[in-house]
Amino acid sequence: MAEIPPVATFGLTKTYRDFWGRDKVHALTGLDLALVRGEIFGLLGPNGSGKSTTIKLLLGLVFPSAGRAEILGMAPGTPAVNQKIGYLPEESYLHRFLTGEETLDFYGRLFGLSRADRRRKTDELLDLVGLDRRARARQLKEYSKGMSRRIGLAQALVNDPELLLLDEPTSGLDPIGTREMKDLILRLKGQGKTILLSSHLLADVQDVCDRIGILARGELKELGRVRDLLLQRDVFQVQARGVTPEAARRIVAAVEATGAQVVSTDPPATTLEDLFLRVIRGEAGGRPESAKPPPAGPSRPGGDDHGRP
Amino acid sequence: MAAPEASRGNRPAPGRSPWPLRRIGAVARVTLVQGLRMRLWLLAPLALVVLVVADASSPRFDPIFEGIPAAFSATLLVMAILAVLVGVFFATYSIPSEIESKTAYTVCTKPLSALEFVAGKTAGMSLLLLGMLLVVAAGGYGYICVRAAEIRALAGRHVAEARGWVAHPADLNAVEAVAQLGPLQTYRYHRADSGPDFAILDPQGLASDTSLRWILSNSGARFRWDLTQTPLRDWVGEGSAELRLQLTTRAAGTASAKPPQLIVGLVPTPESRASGRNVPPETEQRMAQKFDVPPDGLLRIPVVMAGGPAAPGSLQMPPDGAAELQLYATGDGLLVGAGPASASIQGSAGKVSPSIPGPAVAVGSERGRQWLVGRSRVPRAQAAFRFDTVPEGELAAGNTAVEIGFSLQSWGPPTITSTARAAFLNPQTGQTRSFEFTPEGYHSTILYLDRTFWHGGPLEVRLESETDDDFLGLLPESVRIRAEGGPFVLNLAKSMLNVWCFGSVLVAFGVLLSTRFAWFVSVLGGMTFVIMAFARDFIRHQTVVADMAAALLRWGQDWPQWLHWEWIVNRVSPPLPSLQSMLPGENVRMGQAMALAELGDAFLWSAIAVAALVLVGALLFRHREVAA
Repeated sequence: MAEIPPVATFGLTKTYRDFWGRDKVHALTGLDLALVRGEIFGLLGPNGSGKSTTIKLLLGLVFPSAGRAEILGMAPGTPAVNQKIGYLPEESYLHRFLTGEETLDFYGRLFGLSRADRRRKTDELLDLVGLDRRARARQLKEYSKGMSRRIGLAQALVNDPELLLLDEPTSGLDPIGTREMKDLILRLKGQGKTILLSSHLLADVQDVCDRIGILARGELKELGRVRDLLLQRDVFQVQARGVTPEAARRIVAAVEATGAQVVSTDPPATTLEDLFLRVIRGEAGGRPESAKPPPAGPSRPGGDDHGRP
Repeated sequence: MAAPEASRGNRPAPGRSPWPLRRIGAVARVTLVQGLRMRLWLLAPLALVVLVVADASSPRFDPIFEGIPAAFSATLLVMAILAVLVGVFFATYSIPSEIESKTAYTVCTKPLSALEFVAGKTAGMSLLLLGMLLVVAAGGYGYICVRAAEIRALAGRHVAEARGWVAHPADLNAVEAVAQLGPLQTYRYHRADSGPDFAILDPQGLASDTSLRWILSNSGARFRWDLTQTPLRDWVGEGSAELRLQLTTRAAGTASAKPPQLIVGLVPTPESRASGRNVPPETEQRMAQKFDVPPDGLLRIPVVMAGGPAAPGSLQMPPDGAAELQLYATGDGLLVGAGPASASIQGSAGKVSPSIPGPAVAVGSERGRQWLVGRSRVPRAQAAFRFDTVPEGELAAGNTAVEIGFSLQSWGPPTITSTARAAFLNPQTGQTRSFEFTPEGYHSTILYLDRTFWHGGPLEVRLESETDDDFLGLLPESVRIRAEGGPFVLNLAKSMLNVWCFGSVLVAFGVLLSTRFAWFVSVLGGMTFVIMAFARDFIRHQTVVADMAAALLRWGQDWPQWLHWEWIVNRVSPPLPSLQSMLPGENVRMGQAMALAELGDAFLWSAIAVAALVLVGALLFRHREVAA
């Protein structure tokens, strides 16, 4: 029997209407999509392309104008589905007057966790997202944006979900937080969870996603594996350390001797994110990024293919 | 790719408890905590300050007896206003605020059904309201206690000052009780099992003929004989019928300014009037005639069919034949007696009917009150109330209070020195105890019985008016025994819960509106609802408005029934609950203990209403796009 896809859409369409019922915005048109269990899928697109609408449709927060969606084989928005999914909204829309601990306790209650389980889970998740003891007792209205994202992610993980829907997960995070979020996403994938994330930060998507779909004006324009989509099949790249200028000249000559065209011979540049992390962690006395233990999950898809040192 | 069938409905997933109370409780708890941390509860102490200032600055005609009921009523009124505010403004904002802040995105993507969410919101707002009411109740109780201490001291001073000049010692009974026990007393009333039964006191020995019943002239009392089962109509149709009344008359002892006369009428029976077979007014006028009292007491009155000219000295039969004979005496100082054989009908050819059943004595009445007349000194009318048995265990530990309520109406110039007498008879011991007191039309008179005289069981109370010109209006509940009603604070708590019950209905209505509409629409809807309900209550209770409307519609008396004012009011209003019912009844506000059954009714009614509103709200919310 074929495995039920964690997320499947069939001609999913959403048109927002005005007060008089007239069509106002065609937010999504005929989206056909199927996620594979255990993958990280990225929805890419500019603002207003339909990413958030897609996620809202998958969550049952809005209803489709046409087509349908299935989450874990069931209609979206039902308690049965919601029992198995976790959702991190674009901004952490949480009760501002609750503390971090109370927030997780509240969501734990909604999932029917016992008091002991809620207490244990709260401690685990707050540790996981890096909120210290002082932050836990503060009301969310006093949280910074980064702290709000962290507690938002924690609430999405309260039920140990099979499927995570993350709307702009790195939005509002500083580079360290962004890196930690991406590492965490990869660790969750390593635990077998399926993750659907939307973002317009291309580097983030590229770093963590197995597959991506690109939306523009409500239509799916591109769909496939990140590595396949980014692969420049007519370009060959060799990276090596300790190459002297003389050796470089000889390599270029050897390449040209084969009839190939040398496009560039510059030393590869690192990413700004990596540079920032090295500087900040070095100044703070922390370990340099290269000294950190690798994430618990499998290596990033296409990891070393992207010029990382 | 073939997709499996979508599963709809709220079937619980593995691991999801089908028991919704925990989730409802979680939402309610968060709603309550949010409300508390947003400091919405500050409205309660603010309302308390308004209560204290308003009550303390309001002049009271009689602070000893009005002070506590007024403060109690004000406390309950503040609670009701709070309930309206929470229902109209806070509850209507509860769901829109979650949607506007997008918190609903997070909450609604958890395993929470629409019903659980709406029920949790309603419960949370209702608990918030309860908390606010508790603050008002606690503060109000403190204020009432302070007022009670003042009133008790005032009552003590009042007794000391008034003892020398008060008309009757019994008049100070109630004030003395306040001075001794304080004003924070609640009561549970025992209504009399029978009464008022009216009788004419008989110093002239009239009662020696026990077959006769008596009425007193100009007292509003009249004799009634039912003629529906008699052959009168047939005999009138045959052309000859005569009513014969054999009466006994006595001078009642007062000087007569006008010669006494009898007014005798054949009037439609109450059943005939109720059935709508009304008699035209001009015919009805011809149905009663004045007659001089004959020296031998025998009154012979020819009866003719209605419709013809009114012949002097004769009566007209109502067209449908459903008539009763009534007799009323005018003038001063006449007693009229009649017995079972006093009325008969003479037909043609010497036919005589069997005796007509009666007479029944009808006492003058107005709006349900029957008048105890003090017009004639001798003989005097007396009204009796009887308690079959009152369990001793229900009586207060101290002396037992009997409350006597009159509606006083003066005949001629108002009297300011009214006097009434209450005689208590203990049938078990044969003892009697008598009090003279000053009846008041507004306040009840409270008389205290010594427990050595009576400590439960049967009791008879006989009332007389000692003043010539007073009519004392009596209802079946005019004489009541005040039993212990429990602590005042318990009554306050029950009243608060009563307000909370109906406030919760308002809250549920507010939440219901907010499940479908934006906040400003919900608030407008809530306000419209409350204003309409107030307006309806206002119209119902304002006879001026009702009279004006009736006058406008009077010219349409013959229009179909749906155009009549009362019909319109009664049919337009049912969808709106009465806001008056948010408060306990006036009797409770005046100190009567609220019955648990009454509170139970409030709980039941409000629970049904809240459940219905929550169900409708859940249905609306389920079909709402939270993120649209």
